[in-house]
Amino acid sequence: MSAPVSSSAVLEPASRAQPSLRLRCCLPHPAQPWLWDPPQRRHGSLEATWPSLRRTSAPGANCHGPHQLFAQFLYVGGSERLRRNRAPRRSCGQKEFAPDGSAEQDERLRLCLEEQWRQLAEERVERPENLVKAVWKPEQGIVELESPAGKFWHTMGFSERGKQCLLPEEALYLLECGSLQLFYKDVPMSVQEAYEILLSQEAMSLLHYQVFSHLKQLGYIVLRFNPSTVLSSCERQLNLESRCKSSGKHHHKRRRSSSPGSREKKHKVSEDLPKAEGTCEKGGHDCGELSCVPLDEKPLSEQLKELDTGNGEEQSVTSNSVPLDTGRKNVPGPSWSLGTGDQKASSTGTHAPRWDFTTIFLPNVAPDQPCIHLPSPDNKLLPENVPGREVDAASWCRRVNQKQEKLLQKEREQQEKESKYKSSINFDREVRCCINWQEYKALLRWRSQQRVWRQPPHLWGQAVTPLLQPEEATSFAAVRQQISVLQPSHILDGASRLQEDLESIKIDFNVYQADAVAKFKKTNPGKPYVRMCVQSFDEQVPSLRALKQVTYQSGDVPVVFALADHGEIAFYSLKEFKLPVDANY
Amino acid sequence: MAEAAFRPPRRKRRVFECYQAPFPVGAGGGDFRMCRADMVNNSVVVRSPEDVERLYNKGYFGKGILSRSRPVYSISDPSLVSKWQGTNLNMPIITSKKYQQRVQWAKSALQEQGFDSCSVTKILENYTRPLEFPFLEKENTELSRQSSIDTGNMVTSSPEPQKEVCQKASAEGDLATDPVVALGTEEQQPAVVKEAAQASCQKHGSHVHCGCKAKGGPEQESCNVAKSRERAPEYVLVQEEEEGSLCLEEGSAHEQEKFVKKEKLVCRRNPFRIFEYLQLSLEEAFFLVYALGCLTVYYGEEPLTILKLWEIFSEVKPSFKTTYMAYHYFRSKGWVPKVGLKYGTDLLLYRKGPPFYHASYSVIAELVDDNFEGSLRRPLSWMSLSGLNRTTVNASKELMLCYLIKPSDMTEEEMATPECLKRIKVQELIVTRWVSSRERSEQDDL
Repeated sequence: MSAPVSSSAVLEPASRAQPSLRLRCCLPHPAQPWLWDPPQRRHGSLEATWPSLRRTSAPGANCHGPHQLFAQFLYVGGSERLRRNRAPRRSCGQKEFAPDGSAEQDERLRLCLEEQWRQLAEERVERPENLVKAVWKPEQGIVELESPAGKFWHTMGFSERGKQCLLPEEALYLLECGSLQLFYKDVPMSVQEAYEILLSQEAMSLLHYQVFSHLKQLGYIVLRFNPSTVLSSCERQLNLESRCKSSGKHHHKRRRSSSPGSREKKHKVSEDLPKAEGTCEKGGHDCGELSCVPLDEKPLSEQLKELDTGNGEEQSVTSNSVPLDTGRKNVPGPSWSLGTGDQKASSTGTHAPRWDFTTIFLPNVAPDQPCIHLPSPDNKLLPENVPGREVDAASWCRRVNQKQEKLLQKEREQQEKESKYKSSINFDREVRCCINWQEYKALLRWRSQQRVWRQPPHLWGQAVTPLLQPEEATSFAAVRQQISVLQPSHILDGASRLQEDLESIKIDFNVYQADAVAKFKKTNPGKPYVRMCVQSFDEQVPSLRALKQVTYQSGDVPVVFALADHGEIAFYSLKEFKLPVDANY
Repeated sequence: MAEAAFRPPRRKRRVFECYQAPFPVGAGGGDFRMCRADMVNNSVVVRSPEDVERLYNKGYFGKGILSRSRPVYSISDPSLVSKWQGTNLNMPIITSKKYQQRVQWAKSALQEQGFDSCSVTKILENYTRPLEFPFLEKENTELSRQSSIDTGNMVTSSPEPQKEVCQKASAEGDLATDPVVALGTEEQQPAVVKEAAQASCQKHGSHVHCGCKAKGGPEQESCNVAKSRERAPEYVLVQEEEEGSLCLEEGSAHEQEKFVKKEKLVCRRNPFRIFEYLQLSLEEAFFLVYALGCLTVYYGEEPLTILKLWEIFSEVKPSFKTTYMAYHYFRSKGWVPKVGLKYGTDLLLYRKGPPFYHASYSVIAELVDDNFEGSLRRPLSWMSLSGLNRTTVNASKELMLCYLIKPSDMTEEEMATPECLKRIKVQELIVTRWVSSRERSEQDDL
């Protein structure tokens, strides 16, 4: 990593530096003794140059007790850093873990604090032309740039009415990085003021900013989550998303069209409307058809299954109509070809299958149909890279010895021995007395009942009996099947009906991976890597209900919970899981 | 929403046993056997050695009350056994110190029963005097016969039902059973088991013949006792320092070879026997009864019905319904759930069984209503969850939250029977820490 502050920075005598550029180190408000999280690490050089300004936790008026101890973590910065051209080491030696009451420790801490004050008191100097000027607009809650944006524009900011703007958290981050100079009422803001003013809004609390800043420092691209991108349940059911993409592509070119791969819909409402209309027109009959599906949850997979089985029936009907002489050698079997059905026309339906199954014939491979000739399949039905060819096994059949196997003496004895342990039901006298299936089944039933009544009545003679019927326990798989009574659930089951009364928990950020920066486009950010919910460490773990809500909103992007605790941030995710059945007995 | 990936369970490096079956019911129905358990002071205990073995080996149900997991407690000192390998006496060997300890226990037990110290000493002296063990030496048939005659004599003096036990014992060519002792066992067992289960007190069957004589009554489980002899043998070999006077009394040819070592084995009766039983967790017991129907839980002599058990267990353990649902769900998926107390959770999930794999998941079960809310048994803050996750991950397990979702129209009456399970849905979640510095780029994943 190169020098954090570019070497081109001219070190002017303090007296000549503009007063406004003396970014005073500011103390947090006494009423809010924040433990500031100093930007510690930085990977890559994505944004503006690394701050020469280092903030520290405030050794305020109440600098006794544990606060002193934390002072050990402080970082030196400023001119020392410039001189040494590398990250300064902590100068205070070993970390103190608890006050031991000794004068020695007090002295060490005092020295440490003193040094810190010294460092903080140093003036940070920046070239005025390196700073982007910006103005805080409290009415809109945004920051408007007055001079052209720097490199950060690639991943931050937005344009409105021809102006370059920043969200408060972005402006504050850039301010801390030393690449922005923020004015409010024509007076430059200090970092402390910026913290107080920019983070006073509902949307962006200190907690949120800490998470934002943490992720930014690691190189992630962090955008605010826009709830309007959440698909409605109707859209989901119709699977509009994919259709939107294709229809958008073909029909009207948007100024900022999202690529087909994107699942984000970062459009303004005005743009959304015509698109929605377009899809409604397109899938008109489907809308009608699906509207009868009750909106309250039917998992998508289930619906698909229904569609599938529907098609399956069709298919089986057609395959029944396949001529029965398929297998005969000289009669060519039905080809694997697509029918003449207009595939394109059928694909306009929302859930129309890719193939028209009524026109696809499958060879009859029933065991009584010796199938030795398979015509070459239609290439359209095959995946790419998979060649299909005709198969004629007739020549093989001639070469294979199909005579009955002749057993050795030993083998025959073995077989006889084994057969001793097997008994035919025909030797069962009671079975032989049965003259038809009905009687035989009645006999079986009677026998099984006999066995049940051999079970003790305190278990079997009650209203609630054991789940397992001993006579049905033919294998362990069967046992497992009989005792499996609890139904598995899916994280999205019932989630759509929860969207009306959203709880306090909401998604805050879309996060994109650091290595995606090169390809990243603000206008078309694509699918985020994860979405973040910011919470305090003291809060309760969200209920299943809240989890379902955020998961539903997030779609197929994983949700991560960012937990901030006085500047320390931990991330956890609660992922859906299905424990596989262990059938390997 | 991406699903959490399944991580294959980790095999244990050394496996000393082979896998028998996932459930104690035979596949094919042929091997069906009813096991018996007793409800003793809110816990479920299996006593019959066959049942213990069956339930533990096939599905790893329960734990031995004197062992960490598998019921393998043995009084015998393994180092002494290997030392006296050549003797081949088929009896447990213990040190003299250990034996004296047992005598002490018996003494205090007798004193508790109200005997004065004089008679206690006398009783014990008589009971623990060294015995010859001729019946174990095959060449000495004469003595063997004599011993069984002895037994017969004693039988005649005891009440009717004991005959069976003793005859059985002598028929097996084993040690003569003192019927009085056997009787005492049965009289005292329930109380003692109670104690053991409750306070994990290891004091068990204190078999002091005198105390029992007075109490002599009908004997129902003499067969059980005869069988359980293997687990808590009446006769033990005590390794003692050689003393001149004792040496003369111990005339066994076998022993004289060992005398060079100045140590010998003396056969004595164990005055204080301890039985290893299998204790089933409430979930395990209910599963065996309700799901498999292969266990009957008795309260006293009365077999309990499924509904009764559901009621009793829910009373004993308020969270029983929730934990049982989770238990049942995972069992029916072929996993072996065990108590997760050591990891601060409800269940641990093993593949196949604890001897084969390390536990893969540590599970917290919660019952929620149709709105996916409800008063949680264990409301977790992120703080406690991260602590729990850390301990779990450090033990190479994953933390799983198992939500049991009951439909909104499920009433209390419906919950009062285990049939409510059929309407419960289960949602599993895996908790993972997301490490921000590691997820920066795609390459890091590879």
